[in-house]
Amino acid sequence: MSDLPATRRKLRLRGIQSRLIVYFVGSFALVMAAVELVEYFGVPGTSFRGQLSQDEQEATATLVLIADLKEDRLQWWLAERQRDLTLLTNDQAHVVAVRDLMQDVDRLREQHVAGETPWSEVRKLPSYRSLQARVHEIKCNYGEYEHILVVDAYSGDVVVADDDASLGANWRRSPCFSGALKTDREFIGDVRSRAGRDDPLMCFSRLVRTPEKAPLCVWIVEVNLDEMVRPMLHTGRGLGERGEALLVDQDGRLLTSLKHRLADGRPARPLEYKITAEPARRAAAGERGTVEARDYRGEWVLAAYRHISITPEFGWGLVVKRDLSELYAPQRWTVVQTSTICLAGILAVTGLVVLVARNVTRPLRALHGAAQELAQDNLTARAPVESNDEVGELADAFNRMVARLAEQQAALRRQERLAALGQLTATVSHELRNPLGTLRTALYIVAQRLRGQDTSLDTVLDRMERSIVRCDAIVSELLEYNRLRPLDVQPTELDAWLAETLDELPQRPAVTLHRDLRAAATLAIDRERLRRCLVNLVSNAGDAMPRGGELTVSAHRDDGHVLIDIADTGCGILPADLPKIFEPLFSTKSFGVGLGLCIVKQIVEQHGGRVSVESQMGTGTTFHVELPLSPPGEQHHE
Amino acid sequence: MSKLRIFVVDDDRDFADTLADLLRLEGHDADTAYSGEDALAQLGTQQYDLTLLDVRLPGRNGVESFLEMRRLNPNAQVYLMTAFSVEGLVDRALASGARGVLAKPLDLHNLLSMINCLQA
Repeated sequence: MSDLPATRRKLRLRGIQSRLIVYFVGSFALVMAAVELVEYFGVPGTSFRGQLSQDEQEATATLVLIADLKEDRLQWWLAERQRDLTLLTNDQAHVVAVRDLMQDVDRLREQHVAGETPWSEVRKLPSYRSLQARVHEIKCNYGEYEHILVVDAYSGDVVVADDDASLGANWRRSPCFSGALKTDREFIGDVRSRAGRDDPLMCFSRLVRTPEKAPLCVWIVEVNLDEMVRPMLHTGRGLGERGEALLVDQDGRLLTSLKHRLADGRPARPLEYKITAEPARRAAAGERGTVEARDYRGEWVLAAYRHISITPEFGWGLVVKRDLSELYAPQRWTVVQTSTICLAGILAVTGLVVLVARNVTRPLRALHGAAQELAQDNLTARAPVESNDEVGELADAFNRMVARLAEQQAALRRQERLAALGQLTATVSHELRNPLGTLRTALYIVAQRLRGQDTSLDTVLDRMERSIVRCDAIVSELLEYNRLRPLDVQPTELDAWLAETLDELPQRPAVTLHRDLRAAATLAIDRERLRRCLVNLVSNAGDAMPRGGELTVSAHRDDGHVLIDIADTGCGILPADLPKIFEPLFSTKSFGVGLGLCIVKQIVEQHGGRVSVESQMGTGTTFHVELPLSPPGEQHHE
Repeated sequence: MSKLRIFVVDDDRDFADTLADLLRLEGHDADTAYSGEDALAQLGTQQYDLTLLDVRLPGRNGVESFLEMRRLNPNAQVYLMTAFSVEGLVDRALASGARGVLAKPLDLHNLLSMINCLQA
C-alpha cells in the first residue's frame, strides 16, 4: 500500500473532483446570475427592457394616469363652480329679488343719516329676510361653498349673504369684487386668506346687470380649497400609503394641507409654506411631466406634475407623487425572493454536483491510487474497472500495462540473472578449458606409459578419461549456450542430411530407430548447429529410454514449413515440468547442466523456427521442430 | 619417422609443458615458450619444423607474434591454437599463411596424426 498519509492523499485527489464541482457550480451560478440580471435589467441595445424597467414604466404610467384623472377632476370642478355661479346669476327671480332689496336698502339709507346704512334695520326688511333665507338655502343645497354673498355693485357693501353676520361688510377692495366689475363673465379670484382666517379660500364672482344693463350687484362665492378640493385629491388608494397629491399656486405656495410633516417636523400650512421641491416648482412654473426627485420632506419620490391654468394671471400646480421606497418595495422584495431562490438552487445544485462529481471521479481516483502504488514500486497495484466507458477502458489498459510490466520486470530480472550467470559461466568455462586440456594430455601421457604394464590401472585410467570427457562436455555445453554466433547457413537437402546425421550418431542399446523422412525440401540451415540440436534431442530421447524403446525421427512438409518430429517411447515428462523444460538450467537428469533443450530452442529460433513438445506420462514424448522454408533475413554462404 | 623439432608457445605453463612432454613421448624434440616476446627471442636462435602457437598470449598476442615469425622465417610451419573463435583475427592469420587453427581443448589423436602427416 502507498505510504502517503491518508488525509494528504484524499486532499490531493480532490483536485479533479473539486475542479469539477467548482466549474459546474460556478457555471450554474454564473448562468443564474446572468439570467437574473437580464431579467431585471434587460439586454442593452435591444428592445428587451427587463423587469425593473418595466416596473418603472408601469409605475410611471399609473402615476400619470392618476395625475391626468385628478387634473381632469379639478378642471371639471372649476367648470362646475363657474356653472354654479352662472346659474345663480342668471336666475331672473334672483335679479328681481336683489333689485327689490337694494331699492329698499336705498330708501332706508336716504331716510337715515347721510351715507350711513342702517344695517340692523335692513335685517328686518321682508325682502331681505326672504332673500337671505333663499341664499342660505342655496348654500346648504350646493354644499360646496363657505360663503355666498351678494355685493352692491356700486358701494361694494354686502347686501345679503348666507350668514347674517356678513351683512354690511365692504368688499370694494377685494379683487374678487373689482375683478368681476371689469368683465361680464365669471371672475375667478386668486386664493388668499381672508383676514382673521388662514384657510385657503378661493372666490368666484360675477357681475349681474339689470335688464337695462346697469350694474346691479356682484355675486361672490367662496370655497375653502382645503376642505373642498383636498378630499378630491386623495380618493382611492392608487398612490399607496405614503403617496399624495397636492396643489400649489403659481408661486409654489401650498394650497392644500400636506399628508406628511416637513423634514424638520413642522406641519406645513397652506398659503404660508412655499414648496421649493422640484416637482412642485415645475408644476407651479407651468410645466407638465414626470420626474424622480426629492419632495418637500427630502424623500425621493416619483412625481407627475401638471399645471392647471385658471386665468392668464394665475393657475394651480398639481403634483401627484409616490415614495420611491414604497413604489419599488415589492420589486425589491421580488429581487430578494428570486435571489434567495437562486441561492437555494445553487446550494441544491452544489449538493447534487458534489454527489455526481464524486461518482464520476471515483474510478479516476481509484486509478490514481493504483498509479501511486505503482510509483511506489508495487507491481500488484490494480485499478478497479467499474464502468464501460473511457475511464473503465483506461483502468483496464492500466491493469494490463502493469501486468505486462510485472511480467517484463520478472523476465528482465531473469535475463539479467542469466546474463550474469552466462558471463560467469563463460569465464569459468574458458578458465576450465585449459586445465582440462592439460589434464587430458597429461592423462594421455600417463596412459601411454602405464597401459599394458599394470592392467588393474586400465579401468582406473578409463574412468579418469571418461570423467575428463564429461567435464569437457559440460564445459562445452556451457560455452555453446553462451555463444550466439550468427548462423552459417548453407542450402541443404533436408532428408539426406537428416539421414546422414542420424547415421553418425552413436546408437543406444535396445533403442530402435525408425525414420520417416519425407520433407523433400532444401533449406538454408547451419548444419553444425542443427546437428547439435539433433544430437541433444536424440540423446535426451535415449536417456528417457534406459531400458530401450523406439525412437522415431520423421520429417515432412506443411504449408511453408518443414516439420521434424523426434518421438520416443520413454517415461514421458511431467505435465508440471512441460513448460519449464526449455528453460536454461532445468534438468531432471542427475548429471548435465540442463542446457541441452535450451540450446535446441535457441538454435531453432535462430533459424526462424519453433520447437514444441508433447508428452504423455508412461507413453512417451515427441518434440516438434518447425523450420520455415524461407528463413527471414539470414545470410547465405555458398 | 623422423624426429621433428616442435615449438610450443602458450601462457598456460602446465598446458605447454604437458604438451611438450607428450610430444617428447612421441619421440620428438619439444621446446616451450610462455610469451610472444620469449618465443620470438628463441626463434632468433633456433629453427623449428613446427610451431604450435596460442592465440591468446600476454603482451604481444599470438597473431601478431605469428606475423613477426613469418617475417623472420617465411617458411615457418605454424598452427594457431585457440579456445575462442575470434573469427576476424584468425582469418587474418590464415590469410597470412598459418597452416591451420587448432581448437582447444586439443584433440590429441587429431594432433598426432597431423604431425605424422608432416613427417611424411
